[in-house]
Amino acid sequence: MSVVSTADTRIASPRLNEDWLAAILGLVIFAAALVGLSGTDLAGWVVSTSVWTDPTVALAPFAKAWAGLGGPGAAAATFVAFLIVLSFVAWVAGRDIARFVPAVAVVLVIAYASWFVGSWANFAAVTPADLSKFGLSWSLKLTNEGGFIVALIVGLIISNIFPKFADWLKEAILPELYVKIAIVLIGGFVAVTAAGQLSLASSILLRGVAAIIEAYLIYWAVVYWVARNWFGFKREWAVPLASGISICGVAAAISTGGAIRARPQVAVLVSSLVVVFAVIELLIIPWLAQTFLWNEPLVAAAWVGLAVKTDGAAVAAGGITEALINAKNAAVGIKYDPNWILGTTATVKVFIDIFIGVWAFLLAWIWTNHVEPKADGSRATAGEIWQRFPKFIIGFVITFVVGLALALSPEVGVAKLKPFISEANTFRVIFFILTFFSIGVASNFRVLWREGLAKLVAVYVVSLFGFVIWVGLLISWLFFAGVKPPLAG
Amino acid sequence: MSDERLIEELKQNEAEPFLPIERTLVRVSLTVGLVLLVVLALINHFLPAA
Repeated sequence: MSVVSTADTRIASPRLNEDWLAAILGLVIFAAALVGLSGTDLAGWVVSTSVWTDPTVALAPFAKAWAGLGGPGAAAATFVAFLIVLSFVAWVAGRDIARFVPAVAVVLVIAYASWFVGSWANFAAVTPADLSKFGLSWSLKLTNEGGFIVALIVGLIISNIFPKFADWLKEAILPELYVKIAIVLIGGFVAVTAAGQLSLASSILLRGVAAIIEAYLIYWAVVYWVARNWFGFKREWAVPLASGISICGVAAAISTGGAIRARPQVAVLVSSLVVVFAVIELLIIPWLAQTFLWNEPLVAAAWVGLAVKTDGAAVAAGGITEALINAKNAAVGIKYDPNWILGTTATVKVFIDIFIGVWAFLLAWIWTNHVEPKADGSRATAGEIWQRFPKFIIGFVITFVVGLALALSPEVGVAKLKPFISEANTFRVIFFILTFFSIGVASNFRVLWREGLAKLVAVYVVSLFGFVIWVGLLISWLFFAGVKPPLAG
Repeated sequence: MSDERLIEELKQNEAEPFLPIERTLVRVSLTVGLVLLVVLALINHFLPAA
């Protein structure tokens, strides 16, 4: 994660940056899954976990073609494949490979074990039919995606109670990398989901524009004004703070901080707050959405995308919100097509991310021309837009376009494509689990009580809970009220 | 620079004047943002989601 990696002095010069690595790895996984269309299933060994009461039958390879592996074999194959691929990615990223390999091995085991626990039927079973099938009298009705919350809680316990262990794991705690790979893979299944409902999907894209306007032009301006005038912060602090609270957390704080030539440590310190507050939001907002917006699923989806900061926490919160809202609706007999809530949250987030480079350039231009003009007369150049563009979005666009083209082509079509997109989605789930666990481990709540940071925390609390969340809800309601995902089947 | 020095600096927090260009940035952002939101709301009203 940026907040960790930026502060980490052990990182050598990366051979390729995190965004490009996420785009390439996501595309490789997506391509491997699509090879299945030719009849050769390259990636079907990946392990998936069913809701269980008997743990010995919970694990299985995703594809029947790989059934011979059995559950433990699929788990072992998945572990070895992730260990090798992530170690290679870490080497390319310039990380300390001797520390990374053992750390990521432990991260993989703990994170997937958390997912496994979350799939226990007493946590995950939702409908009366499920309860009856498993012979249960009660369930928390979290769906098996409650495993994400288990992973997050386990990560938080490690971070806040076992800091030395958290420090040992730190080399493999890369939530931004994991979630960016997941977002690339989301592009494919958003495409397949959208292909069946093109009109609704294009309406959602149009409404995504409102999110960009809100994040950059309204949130940012208000938070910057509050930070400067109410709390008296200097510009060097107010810019990353406004970006962190209003745009998309860590990446925005660091990009815009760099754009105005703020010292890197300022953006890193602000980012440590962003991560902690993102976790607080992740733990609260999906449940608020389930309680108050369960009959407006896409309002909830857009709200989560606008309110929860950092890509990892926002998209993760979209996944939890989908599980909770779909579970509540399923309990009363309404079964929505899956993926629309998560897809809408991810779309809103990606739309916001796209403009980070433009916003950073705009600030750089204003700062170099009007606020702190340089003696040598050098000015910001348009090349900075590309330099700061989050490149993993290219991967998302490619998987979306390829997925949509295949889904709409008469030779392939949605029905034939869906199983292979689901295969890629199984990898996406594992990257999500790693994201949740890593967010937990990276979040040290002691930062909130650190002497001297009270005013930073105050700006965050005032802006986030006094303004950002509620304006986000209002605008999500304005644009998405009455827009429902299609019903399943 | 260590976090401790940064935090010390935060505590002292010398005032920095709010420049006219900052005021302009905030005002233009809010005005353009609100106008665009109204335009989008009208589009949303006349072209409801399918």
